[in-house]
Amino acid sequence: MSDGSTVAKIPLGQGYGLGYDGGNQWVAPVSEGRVVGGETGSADINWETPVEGVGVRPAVTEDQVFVSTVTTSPEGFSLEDPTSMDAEGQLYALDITDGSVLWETSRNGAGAGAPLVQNGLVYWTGTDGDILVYDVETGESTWEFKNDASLPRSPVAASGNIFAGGQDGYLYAIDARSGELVGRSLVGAPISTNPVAVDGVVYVGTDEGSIQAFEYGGGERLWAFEADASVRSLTVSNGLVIAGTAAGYYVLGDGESVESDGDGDTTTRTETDDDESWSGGGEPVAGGDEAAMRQRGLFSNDGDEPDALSNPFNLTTLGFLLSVAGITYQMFQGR
Amino acid sequence: MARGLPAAWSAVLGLPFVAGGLYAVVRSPNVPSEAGLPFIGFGGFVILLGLYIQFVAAPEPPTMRDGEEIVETRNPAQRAAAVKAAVGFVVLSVAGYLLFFTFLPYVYPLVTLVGGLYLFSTGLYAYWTNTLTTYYVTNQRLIKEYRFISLVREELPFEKVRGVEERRSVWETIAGLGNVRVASGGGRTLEVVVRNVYSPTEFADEVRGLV
Repeated sequence: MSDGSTVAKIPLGQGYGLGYDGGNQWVAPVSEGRVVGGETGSADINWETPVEGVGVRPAVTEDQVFVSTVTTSPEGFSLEDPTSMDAEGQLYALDITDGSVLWETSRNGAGAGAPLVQNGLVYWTGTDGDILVYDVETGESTWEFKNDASLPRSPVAASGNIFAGGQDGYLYAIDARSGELVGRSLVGAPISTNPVAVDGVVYVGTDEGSIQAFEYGGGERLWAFEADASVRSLTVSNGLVIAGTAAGYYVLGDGESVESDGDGDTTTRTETDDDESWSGGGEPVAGGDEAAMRQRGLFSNDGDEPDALSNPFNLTTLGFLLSVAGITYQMFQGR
Repeated sequence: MARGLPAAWSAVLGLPFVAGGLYAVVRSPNVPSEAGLPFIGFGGFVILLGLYIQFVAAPEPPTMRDGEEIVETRNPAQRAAAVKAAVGFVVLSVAGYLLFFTFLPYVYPLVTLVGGLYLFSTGLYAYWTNTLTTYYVTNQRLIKEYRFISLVREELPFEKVRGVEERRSVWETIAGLGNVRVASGGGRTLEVVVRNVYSPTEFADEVRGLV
């Protein structure tokens, strides 16, 4: 366990997001368009790899490092509001021992969230709304989840699903292997934190200061708590939800009351099986309906079908009109 | 006014469609809001048609001739229609759940919806048609009356009757229902088919006794 003492202080420049220290290696993307690495406990930089743009927190396997960068300047980079960056994203797979580039790819939107590595696949979200998935070894695309709403935060994996928070106010659950949309839960405001999945519950925080818990797989909202300011970070440990907001930290427990160390006030977490008790703005933000119509298709949810076939209004209207016509005709005939 | 309570039952059957449609319009995250409109429209159609049938469409009893009097009045049984509508309603509920509360591709809720609508619609129009149909047995004639918008009256004077046929399928036998076909002879046969009546044998014997 760390005793808090400084082992090494390495002059690297400005960093965005955390570096990584695990095994015998440390890795850090820094602002000047490079990723550096070295041995744990040593201030020596063993390798340095130039990358395009500003890198965020890497994902690391035993022998690889995955770094997402946003092709903008350090001044133009904004972790707080990734959607404001009009920039492309790059994803680099580096050899952890020497920093050599194994493969790289790009996307239209900024990948401001850390990539997620799980079961031989790397999942990469971005402000263009897509989840791009690659084989960690070859860099070949495995599947893509197309979405209209921006997904600027890192996804999380649990129970065979990938959870990603959208700017359209929905928490998406996607099958990790197939990329099929399993379900989505209405959060009601742009999600501002990485989702956290623990013991069948996914937690998210929003720009409007709401902290919410959902069942896995697009399930019901279990509870919601209204904080005083935009939620910036979320951690779950030992049955406690710890949220950092622009106004202070909140620790949400299992009981009815919670503590805020911002001003010492005691506030209450609200069970929200009854949505009427939820005050977080229960409506999706603009574009939610449109997104739903495009994502949910007639035969699959991959979004590649013509809109006319993917619009339930057309299909149900046809069914009901036939039914009304049949009833009316038979009634006239008296059969 | 029609027999029974078609307005009330139609409201009971139509209101869930309106409620489901409103749910979709207001807050279902899984479908575009306009997807609820056809449900509201269909629910409104069911409710309004029920009101029309209750208060406007029912036929008046036929005018009797001199010396003629009504011996018996029969109405078609509603049992089969009710079962069909109820099963259809359950299937439609499943379709609504799949459509509004899951994110499965639309083919699943829509196939369920089509099956449910077929059962529900055929059951519902059978219920409404039965409500508007009355069989009168007088001492001179057998009359079938049906009125939805225009009146349909079929009648067969007993002096022309050449045969009374009774038919009951296995299911009708179990349900205590049956059909009685009363027909005249000759080139252009007149006939009145009395459908879905309770105790058809008793009814057929009664007609035979008047022939």
